Amino acid sequence: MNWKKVTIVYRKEIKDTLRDKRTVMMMILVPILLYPLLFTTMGQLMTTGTKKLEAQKSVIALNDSLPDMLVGIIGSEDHFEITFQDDPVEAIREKSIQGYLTSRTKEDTLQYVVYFDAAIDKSRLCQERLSDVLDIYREEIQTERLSKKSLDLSILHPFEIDLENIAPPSRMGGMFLGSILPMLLIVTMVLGAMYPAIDLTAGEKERGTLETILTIPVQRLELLFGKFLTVTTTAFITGLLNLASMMLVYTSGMVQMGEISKHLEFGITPFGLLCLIFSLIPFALFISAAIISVCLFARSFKEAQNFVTPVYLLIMFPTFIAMMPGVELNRSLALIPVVNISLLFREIFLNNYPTELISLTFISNAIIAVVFIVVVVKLFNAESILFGEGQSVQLSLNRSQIRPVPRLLPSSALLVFAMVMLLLFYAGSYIQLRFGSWGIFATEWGLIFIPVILALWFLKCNLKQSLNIGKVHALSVLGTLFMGLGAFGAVTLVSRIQMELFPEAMEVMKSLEKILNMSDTSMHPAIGYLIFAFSPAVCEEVLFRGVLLSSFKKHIPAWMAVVLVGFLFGVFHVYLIRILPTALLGILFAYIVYRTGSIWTSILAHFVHNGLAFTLINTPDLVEKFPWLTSEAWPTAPVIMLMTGLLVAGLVLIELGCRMNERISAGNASMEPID
Amino acid sequence: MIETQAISKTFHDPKRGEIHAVRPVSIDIGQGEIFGLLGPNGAGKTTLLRMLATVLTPTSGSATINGFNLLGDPEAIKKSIGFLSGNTRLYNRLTPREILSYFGALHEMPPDQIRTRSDGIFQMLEMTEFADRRIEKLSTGQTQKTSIARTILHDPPVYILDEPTLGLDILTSRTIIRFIRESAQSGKTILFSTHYMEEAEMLCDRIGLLHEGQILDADTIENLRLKKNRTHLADVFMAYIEEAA
Repeated sequence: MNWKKVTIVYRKEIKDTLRDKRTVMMMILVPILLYPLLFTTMGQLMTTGTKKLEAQKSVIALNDSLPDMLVGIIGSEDHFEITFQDDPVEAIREKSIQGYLTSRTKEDTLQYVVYFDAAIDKSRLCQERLSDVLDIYREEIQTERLSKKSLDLSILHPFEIDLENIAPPSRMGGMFLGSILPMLLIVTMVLGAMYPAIDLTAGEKERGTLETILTIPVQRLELLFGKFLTVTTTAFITGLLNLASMMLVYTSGMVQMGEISKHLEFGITPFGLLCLIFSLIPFALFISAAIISVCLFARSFKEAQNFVTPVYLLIMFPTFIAMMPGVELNRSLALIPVVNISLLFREIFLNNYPTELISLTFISNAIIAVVFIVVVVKLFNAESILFGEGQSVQLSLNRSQIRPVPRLLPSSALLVFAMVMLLLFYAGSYIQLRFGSWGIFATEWGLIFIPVILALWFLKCNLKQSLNIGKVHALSVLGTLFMGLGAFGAVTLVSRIQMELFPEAMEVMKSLEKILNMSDTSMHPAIGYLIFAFSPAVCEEVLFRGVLLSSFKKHIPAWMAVVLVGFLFGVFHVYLIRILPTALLGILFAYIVYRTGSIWTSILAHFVHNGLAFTLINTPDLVEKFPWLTSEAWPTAPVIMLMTGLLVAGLVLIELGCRMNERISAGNASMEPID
Repeated sequence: MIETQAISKTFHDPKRGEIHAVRPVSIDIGQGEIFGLLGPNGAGKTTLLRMLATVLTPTSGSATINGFNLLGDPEAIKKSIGFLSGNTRLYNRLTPREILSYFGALHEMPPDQIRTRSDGIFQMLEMTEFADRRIEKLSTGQTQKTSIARTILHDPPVYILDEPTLGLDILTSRTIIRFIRESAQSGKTILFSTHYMEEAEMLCDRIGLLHEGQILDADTIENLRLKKNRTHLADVFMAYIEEAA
């Protein structure tokens, strides 16, 4: 690769990009305007709103049985307006009053009840005011009663509590900033990268300039790196400008958040700033490569925008984690992209500089960026992606207009996947909770198998090719059995590693088992195997190793198709803790179907895996003897060796079976008569 | 100057299966010759030219251009050709001068040479007036002149032109046709595709009739007429298609 040419491409793309109004707006104008507007206007509005609310009187209703003394205290307070209501609770709902105070006796104890609507600000304020009044009233009664016995009120208050916050205002400011700014920073960086990424890939395809540039002496790799560095630069500069704008807004004292501002100071040390800038680099590389890889599949600017939206949401979602209370950056979280950078920003805003975690975050993002760059390079070299007709969805509501196809286009296959996910999300969860084990049976067949087969029928797909139905050699079948057993061990080991990293996962797994109801003792074992092993093996394989794999392997490199199908299989299992083990399982299943060309192998392996899991859950003695079987303990070295042996032996037997099948087909072909 | 040896290209279409866009094609074009590829839409003209311009990789066969092998030395081929297509566009936010400077740099031309050559081309094609105006503000004719300038900037010995007059008005088409003629006169080898019969008759020394990815015949217009005993080129072409069917 000639770096001089990369620089030439880079300089041109930067110039071109900076002349694009949309990019400039996202990169420069948004950061310049966003923070001053956000923290001055919003802050002022909040302050004004609170002041306005506090100035208003609370309209309340009082029960007739309330003692005069209490009514007297309420009446002496300026901020109450007392009215009479026939149905005060209904009046609160209708917002005609904000609160209602009454009393009752429960188990010989007098209770004062404050009715309010917590969803209405005014009503919440009213509740606070009434609670204060009740405190005063209680204190007066206490004083009265104690004085009758010649005792002082202090007898009830042996000590006072004084809270001293040792966090300096700068750390308080850091905590405040760290909870909301990482998300803003990440979102604006993604938006900053988005327009140039679309413009330099799909936009260039749409305008026809890509063909022009490919006829001159510049290698595709040089061209790609020039573009990639441009997108990374815009993402990075957007990040920098956002940071600069944030700092300027805070240090200039423009933040107007009312009372809260008095306790906050916004400042960051030069070292902290350096750490932030340093962390932005691999993150900018990662988001640029991720967005470009998606954009390359699009034919036009508009199509690329549609493709990028889910990526944008996927990147944005983990940023909410940094806003959650109690979540702190640790070694495990430092390995998860986006989550790590969000939490790291928070740490830095708090003036914490955990160098080990900063390095881990940097390395993790850099590795993911490299993986994405490799994918982008592969895609950019694929003629079908660079000059293909594109991957439009093959859907028409009039079936007579649909032409028969051997298999679905990737976009349509993904649409089928999305449809199944939606069905499971909305109907599946309800059915499973309502009907337990039989609900699982119903969702597997009714929400996965039947909709998938109906989609294939509607879109006139060849069932044999769409579902990878093919003959398989006996040796491959034997290999699949071995592999299924070995895969169970591998998945158990991965789950164990996860539990070590995230101990809270154990609880999730246990509650999951309860939801799945796999340990239902009243169930006949044959029915258990039908529901938990056979049904998922057939229904889920038809979708993943059938429809999705057959479609992907024709359009993207085989290894990528296998990994993608595995990843989607992981996502399908929804719970974060299950994604990695099930994705690994999905990759193994996809590989054997890709290699043997037959879905029967993955159905068998899936059945073996789930059947084994069901057997174990229903055999507590076995689990007690071998706790590693349910990931509750580490497997011993001989067990790991046995599992690896089974997995490898299985893969070797599958390969041998495939080669024998190929030899048989070659022999049959040579025996065909020649015309 | 251009020699193809059974070059072919097969695409995989998810709906239609294997598509043989170009079946093995062998042609030989000499220096200073204008060779026209004539064929209807979908005949395989663009695919053949894209392979020769190194944009697409042939499924089988090979070619040599200016003595360089297409598969062995694609970089040398890129330096030897100027590729222009009716469909290709330019960067809208750059000016003609910036575009020439960009392409010149990628052709590894020294900055001084780019400047001198650009000025010369701007004068020759009467572009000086709009050389510093962004492409998005230029007319179709002015944009096409910029495309020509970009094609000839590095002074390649071979021009590959894919439907260069497609969708252009008469005046702009004339500019292109004049450019092709003058280039051939100055010794450039030109391979160009078109589906306009008159254009082919007007310009080409020899014509290759391309139909469904196959060259039905390649000869001078006179010889093609004589072979099929027809006067009009369109009739000659139809006779070849009927014979192939």
